[in-house]
Amino acid sequence: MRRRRREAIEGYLFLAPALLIIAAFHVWPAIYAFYMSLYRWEVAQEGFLGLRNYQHLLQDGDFLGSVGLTVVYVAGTVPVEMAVGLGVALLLHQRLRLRGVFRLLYFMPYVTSQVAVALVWGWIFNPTYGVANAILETVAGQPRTWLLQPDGVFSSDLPPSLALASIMFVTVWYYLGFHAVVFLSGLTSISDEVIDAARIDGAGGLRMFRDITFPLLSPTTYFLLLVATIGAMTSFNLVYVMSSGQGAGCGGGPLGTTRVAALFVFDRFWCQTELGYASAAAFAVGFVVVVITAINNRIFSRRVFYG
Amino acid sequence: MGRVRRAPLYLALVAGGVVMAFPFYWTLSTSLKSEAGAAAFPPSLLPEEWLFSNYAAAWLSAPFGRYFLNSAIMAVGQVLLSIATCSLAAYALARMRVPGRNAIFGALVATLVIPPEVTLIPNYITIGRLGWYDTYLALIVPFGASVFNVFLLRQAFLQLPTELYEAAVLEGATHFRFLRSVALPLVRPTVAIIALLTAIRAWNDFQWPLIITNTAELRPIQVGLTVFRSDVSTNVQLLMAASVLAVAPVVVLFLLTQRQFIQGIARAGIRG
Repeated sequence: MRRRRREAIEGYLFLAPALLIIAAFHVWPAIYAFYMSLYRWEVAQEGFLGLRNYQHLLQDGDFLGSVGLTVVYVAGTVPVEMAVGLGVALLLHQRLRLRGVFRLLYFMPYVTSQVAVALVWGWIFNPTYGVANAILETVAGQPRTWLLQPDGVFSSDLPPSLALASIMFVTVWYYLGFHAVVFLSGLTSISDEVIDAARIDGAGGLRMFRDITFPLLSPTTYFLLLVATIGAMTSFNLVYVMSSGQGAGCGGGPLGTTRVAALFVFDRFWCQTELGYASAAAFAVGFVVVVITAINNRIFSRRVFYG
Repeated sequence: MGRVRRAPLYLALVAGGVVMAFPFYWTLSTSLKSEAGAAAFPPSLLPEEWLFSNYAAAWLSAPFGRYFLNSAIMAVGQVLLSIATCSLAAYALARMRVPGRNAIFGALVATLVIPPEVTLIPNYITIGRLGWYDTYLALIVPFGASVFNVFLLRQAFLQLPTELYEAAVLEGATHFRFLRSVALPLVRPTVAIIALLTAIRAWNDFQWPLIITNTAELRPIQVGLTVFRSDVSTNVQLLMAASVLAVAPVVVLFLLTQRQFIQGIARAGIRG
């Protein structure tokens, strides 16, 4: 009896440091963010506002615009990086020579820092000296201003602007190796017997992929879709560094056409010191993330084939 | 499959590979050019003269030594603290009779739904109240434990045979001694993956150090790099050289450990 009690106390002591850090810097701040969002809070805490920050958000064109841009950013990156990543994984799954080298090549961006990557692509997209324009001119196109161009790609006043589209391209470049590697491990875990049996039954090529491989990959696909959607919804570093031009700035340029939700929050928090209002925006976006996680879990846990 | 049918596969992989590799190549190439060479248009693929001195010039034109030291302290500090706290917690959850341990584990897993972005502003306030603004504590402690690490280590501890512990108890070992000298060494592969992922994440971290450091004395490399950009806006070859230096430690670490690293990512699936 006494030994059990001692073991229990010792166990709680073992748990204490980790639980304390997780509680203080992960759980408590999530609650406190909501608390802060109920106040007028600039440099210091001021008057209680109730839900008025949230009411204000719903009427704030800048916030609603940033939500729209986030939707465009997610819709334009996640499906593309997943599709290309799956394609690369299918290629690498063949018994090819130099497989390891290719895998390394595609995965490389994912370990480099997003700040360095953003600076390098900023140089590639430089309107005067950039190699992107040099390549464009050899194929007889007009030079572009890339990251400085607020006009839309499809129509001049529709998002994404060329600036946001360029950042989306870099985002796909950065993450597709991650998708390829996770898809590849999903492909490797499909048993050879299933594939062989299907082949004996006459399946091959496209039909094999549609009826056998893709359904069996669904747990991996679902996992990647969720992780990538949440990651893109809260994406900050790449967008911030590529959109803040020469100075330190607050990002989001040109003309705010790259100010996705995470940059809106950062702008109100860091540059305008409206901490209460920024917390309301962060909490609202976080709430949507949690809801998407929950919905995804419900839909996909029924449809996913865990073979 | 015949050799001929493979050709398009290789072609697709090589074409994609060129797009993937080009920015790396272009960074290296620009970093060796002269100021005039970097500003030439259309740009040349290779430097007309190879100025390795750009690296020394870049290194000396900002306190990069200090930035590197700060990032190293941040990375090592996070790795050591996280392995210490998470292995203790994971061991208690896997191997000790602690009342309510399943509930604790369930609560920990539930906290994974909290998006870290929501915690940014309150954590900034907390750091201010603790008086940790612009200190190493602020760079290390908030990342000194993670549910994910606890989860991975718990899995590893659960796979150790129970006989090991029973034998150790017969010899009079305490839980702590057993954890330190038997259990932890046996789960070294898991510890290595956690250390690797934590170190790389710390080295590449940007937003948090941007808001809680204020001086060059505490500024880690990624923040330093953005400050450097605004200082050398015309000397792009120096900025590229600095970028190469900033990613070099992580790329080397990755190349040395790529097998474990890629397996770790594939198993754990973490997206930075």
